[in-house]
Amino acid sequence: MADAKIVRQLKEQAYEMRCNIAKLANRADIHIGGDLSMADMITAIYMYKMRKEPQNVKWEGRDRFLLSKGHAAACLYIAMAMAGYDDLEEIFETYGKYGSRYGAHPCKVQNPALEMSSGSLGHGLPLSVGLALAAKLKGEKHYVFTMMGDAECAEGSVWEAALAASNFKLGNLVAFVDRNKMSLSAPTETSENGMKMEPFADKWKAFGWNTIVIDGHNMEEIVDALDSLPTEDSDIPTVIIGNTVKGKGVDFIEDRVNWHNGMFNDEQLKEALESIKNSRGY
Amino acid sequence: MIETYELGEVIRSGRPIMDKAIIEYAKKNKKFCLVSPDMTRAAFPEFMNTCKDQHFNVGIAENSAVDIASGLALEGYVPFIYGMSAFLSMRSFEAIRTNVGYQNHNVKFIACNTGVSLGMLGSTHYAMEDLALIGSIPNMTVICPGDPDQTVKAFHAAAQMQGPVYIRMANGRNESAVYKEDYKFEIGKGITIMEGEDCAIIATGIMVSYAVDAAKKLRKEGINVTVIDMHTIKPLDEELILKLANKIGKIVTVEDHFKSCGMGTKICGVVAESGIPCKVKRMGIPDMYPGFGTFSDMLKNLHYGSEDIVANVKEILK
Repeated sequence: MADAKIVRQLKEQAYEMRCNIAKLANRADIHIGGDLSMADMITAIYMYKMRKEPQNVKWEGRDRFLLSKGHAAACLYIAMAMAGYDDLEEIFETYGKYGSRYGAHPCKVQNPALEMSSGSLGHGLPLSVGLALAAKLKGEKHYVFTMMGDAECAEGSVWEAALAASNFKLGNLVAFVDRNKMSLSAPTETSENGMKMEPFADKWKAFGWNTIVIDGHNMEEIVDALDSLPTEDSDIPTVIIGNTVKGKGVDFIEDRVNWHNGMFNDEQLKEALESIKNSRGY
Repeated sequence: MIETYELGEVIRSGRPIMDKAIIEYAKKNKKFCLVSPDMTRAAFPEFMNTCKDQHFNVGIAENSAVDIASGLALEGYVPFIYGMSAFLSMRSFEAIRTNVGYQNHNVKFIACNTGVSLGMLGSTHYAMEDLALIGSIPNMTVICPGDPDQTVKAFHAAAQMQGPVYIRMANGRNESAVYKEDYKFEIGKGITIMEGEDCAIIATGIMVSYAVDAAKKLRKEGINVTVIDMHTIKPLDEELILKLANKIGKIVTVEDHFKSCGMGTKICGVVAESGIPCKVKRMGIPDMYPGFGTFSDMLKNLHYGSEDIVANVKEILK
């Protein structure tokens, strides 16, 4: 069972992260729906689970994290700033501007603290297979985490990689799926315009993965899932499917297809911060 | 002047030659690995059986082959991907561009069955546009070896350099050896095989043997041409091209690739920008999807074999 004190602290950090995301949306158009849906899981990964040295980003013993759903860069930048990699103010001041390290999609060329440049969907998992395979070959004990969007799983390369991860026995690979059930165009399951993913967990099981399904906004469940990960030298890759809500925390954008991305005016920011406070769960 | 074989005099197969070279290299370099979308057995069966811990068959999945190799490269391995060029260069193009070129990952490619060298299998399997595609990627080096044995030189040069490299083999089976004597191979430096003042033929890949053949035929008729093995398409040896444009002023280019977007077109760009008055005639696959046949049938029907090179040189001399 998750330690109550740790869970409380993580909830506070997730709250702070959501507030920062909303504030950034007041300055730039960001993919706020997907930022907010993965915010709890990213908080737990960065603040609780990952072995890292923010001042030594190439430390070999670090756990790797790849943001496959690169459009949620804002959430990643903020997580990294909160974890001590970056300066939050610099993100607020420069996001999306010429010469900034913080573009709308993560760019390793501009920001070497990132493991990969992303934005093109369907690449995070196969790339992670390469990283995890390398760790295994070298006998290194670290995890490779990747965060995917659920709609991204329509990309064939995801399933090529799912096959390969089982084949190469990559127990050090942990994929998260931000299962907010909403793509850019439509809800995945309930709209005639959506690409249906269910039975989603069964697909991963059929590919031989250790499949964990949680409420991706329930910090106890997230921490329990992270605590239950097999050791890095085990043979079976793990997928953690977090059932989430797009835009979680900001009531007027939650589960709204037209809030895939967007900006808050000052009034909306006020409302958003109020909503985030009311729904923070502690 | 470099000693060369007659066309068809010595037939060599790039695949077994490379199989041997790769095994030797892999044994000495433990960071080397080969990632393949299920193509290894067709080319490097000995490697597959003897270097099992350095070989990864990812299944028929060119896209993720590139991504997996990219991950291995990130962690310090030197992955080579072997695959059929048509699929490796086109199905995986975005992965190559985004996860190799953009991020400058040290991934190398050995692509086989390029141009129409495969014959028979048809346009699904012909890679007629890979020089244009892969050649458009910043950070990428593109090498198109002039004969089967040169592939080994290209392999070693690629392995030793940091950064992505695309090596474009022909079919890799039963192709003419060009070089009778050893010579210096340097990435980005075209090789002058024959020298003559009347015209310059710049060839790449499998077409080098045909260019040499054409030059020998022309010599018998009293026409002396320079023959260049332009094995590196990116970076292109602009210095050499400009020297030829200045000195000779007549260039015929020949490649087993779409004429519209390959080496010849790049050479035209270099010449045109220089302002040097120089005629250029490009030869290669015309703007169409060719049918089936042996490679020599193809050359005959698509008009870029030895006899056609001879005819084009004569034409440009008029």
